[in-house]
Amino acid sequence: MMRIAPLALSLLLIVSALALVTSQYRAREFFAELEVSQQEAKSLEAEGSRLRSDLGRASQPAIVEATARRLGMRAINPDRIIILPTSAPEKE
Amino acid sequence: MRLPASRAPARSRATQRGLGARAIERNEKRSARGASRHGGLLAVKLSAWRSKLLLFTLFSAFAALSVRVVYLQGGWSTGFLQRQGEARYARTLPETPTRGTIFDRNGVVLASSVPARAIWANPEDFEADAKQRAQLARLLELSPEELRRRIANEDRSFVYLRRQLDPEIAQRVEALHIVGLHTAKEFRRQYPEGSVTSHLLGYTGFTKVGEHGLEGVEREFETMLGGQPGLRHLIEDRLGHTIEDDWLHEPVQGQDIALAIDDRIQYIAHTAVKQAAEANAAHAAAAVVLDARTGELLALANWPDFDPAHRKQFDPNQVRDRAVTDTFEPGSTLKPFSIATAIESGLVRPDTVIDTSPGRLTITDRTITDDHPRGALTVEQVVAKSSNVGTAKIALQMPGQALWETLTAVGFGQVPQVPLSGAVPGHLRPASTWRPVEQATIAYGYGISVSLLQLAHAYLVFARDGDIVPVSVLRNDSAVTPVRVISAETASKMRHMLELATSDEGTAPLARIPGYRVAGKTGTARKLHDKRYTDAYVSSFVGFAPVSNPRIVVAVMIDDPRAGRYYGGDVAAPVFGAITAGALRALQIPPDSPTMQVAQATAPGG
Repeated sequence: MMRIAPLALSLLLIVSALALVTSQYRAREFFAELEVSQQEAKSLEAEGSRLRSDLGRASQPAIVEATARRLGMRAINPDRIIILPTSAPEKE
Repeated sequence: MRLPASRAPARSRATQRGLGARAIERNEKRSARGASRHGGLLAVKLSAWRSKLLLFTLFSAFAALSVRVVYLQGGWSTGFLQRQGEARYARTLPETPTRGTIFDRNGVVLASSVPARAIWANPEDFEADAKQRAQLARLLELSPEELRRRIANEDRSFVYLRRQLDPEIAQRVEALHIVGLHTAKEFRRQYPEGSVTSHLLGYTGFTKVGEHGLEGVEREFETMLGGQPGLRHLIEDRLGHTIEDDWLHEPVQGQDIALAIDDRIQYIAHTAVKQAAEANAAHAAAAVVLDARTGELLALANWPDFDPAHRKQFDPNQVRDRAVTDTFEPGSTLKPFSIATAIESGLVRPDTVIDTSPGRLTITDRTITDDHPRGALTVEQVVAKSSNVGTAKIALQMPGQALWETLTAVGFGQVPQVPLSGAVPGHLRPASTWRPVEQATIAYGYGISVSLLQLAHAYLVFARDGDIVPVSVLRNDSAVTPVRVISAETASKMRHMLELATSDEGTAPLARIPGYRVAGKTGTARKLHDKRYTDAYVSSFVGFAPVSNPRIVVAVMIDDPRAGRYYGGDVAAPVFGAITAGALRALQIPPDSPTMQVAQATAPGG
């Protein structure tokens, strides 16, 4: 009994040491992966804000108006508006 | 730890001697065994102190080392080694927060930060041949001389060649593979609407600590938009890869804000103001559009304008947000407040007749005149036809304090509670200091100065039922508590009078727009210069629509129109019409004009 104990304990020690090394290694690996993903998230976010800004630029009223004119569209003319009453017409 | 030079050789000698002694000792033993064969010829007798000295020397050396180890590791001077270690693997990096985006009320981007690159050079090791230099200068839009000048100073090791560059162009710069040329990541503030929103949004600039709003909304909402920089602690391996990180304090990212501005109305107002200023050869022009129900600022446009993307060409005259920072004597646009005060106090009724003939009124030493003398007018007509004499006569019948209270209650003479940089209070003296003639002139808008924003805000009283809400620059989803200034009944009477002003007999028939009933008041005021009135005018128009249920208040100001016409009804009223028509359409407000065609309802199937 007294002869097996130190052997078992040292085996346990070795296994634990190896586990420590492995877990440290994997932690580093995961960290690197996380770092890469975070960078990617950042660049996607930046890309997103650029696209939103481009969208804003493309939908500028000035551009919309110019395009509408090119397509031969006209602003609403009140002469051509007919109002439809939603409630029943009042009795005279 | 260094030993004095004189002792070092002595010690090494001792060591040599010590080594020799040990070898000799071994030899002694061997020779003792072989003494019988060799007769002890090589036996040398050495004194015992030599080996003891050796032992002592070695011991002292180890003792010295131990003391040093304990000193460095045991807590007395541990910090030094730790610092040295950290300097090799640990780094602290500041993390710049991303500046918040500014949206309009419908979620359109008005300002956002997009990735950009800075190109910098180290003049000490900058190396490029003529062809590379030419290409670089072309990509950076610098003249070759400018480029040469910037990299000529070899004493410096860091020179920005170009900041805020498009990432794509930066990639092409990198592709030149010039030694000593580097790129750095940064952000650029982009304003998709350009000059349309320029005064309102302002712009940002760089200081030592980063990007800051310098004007307009960018400046006023700096704490929200800017965020707080963070500090990150890194542990790196030999190759510079990050192994572990930790926030010393995390950055607070800039918040996005949603303004009350409606992008479409802003564009309509900006275009109308610009066209009017150019057509009238005016010095400047401005327009403000407010939501009558909530007090939200729907549009704020100025001319001359500027392009926030080209900040090098900024001219203070273009950058100033006139509608907020400049005051002028409003002239007739102030009359409705005097008349409303008189009606409110029961002094007159809308149909009370005031004799304005002969178009002149002398008070002590000053004479008030009407441009178009008109004889007897009702109070309604005094407003519609904008009679100075009529207004003065009414104003002289009431206590000055009453007029002052109305003017103060609608915000004149006080700094508007709006987050717009440089908002001014204008000028309104206390009623106790008014002379009678001043009471009369203030009643029709002279001797008081206001900003266009204040004027638009004050008209909320008429557009709403006699109460007023503060101007809101941010989109306001919660209800605000209005403050009552005049009764709902008086407000309704004033609306009718102001609508008359846009009728054919009023001063501003040009303000009318098809499909909607509009109401408002013209103003044509001489400009003060060096305390004298000049022949330059400020033409203005303030009004609201649709009259049956006012939704927007629009104020227009044209500073010094020089193309012949200068009456508010000729110059500013059409601008009001253009902006109002566009804004009502953009807001999809149903027409309320009685001239509209209304479909005749028919019974289904009949």
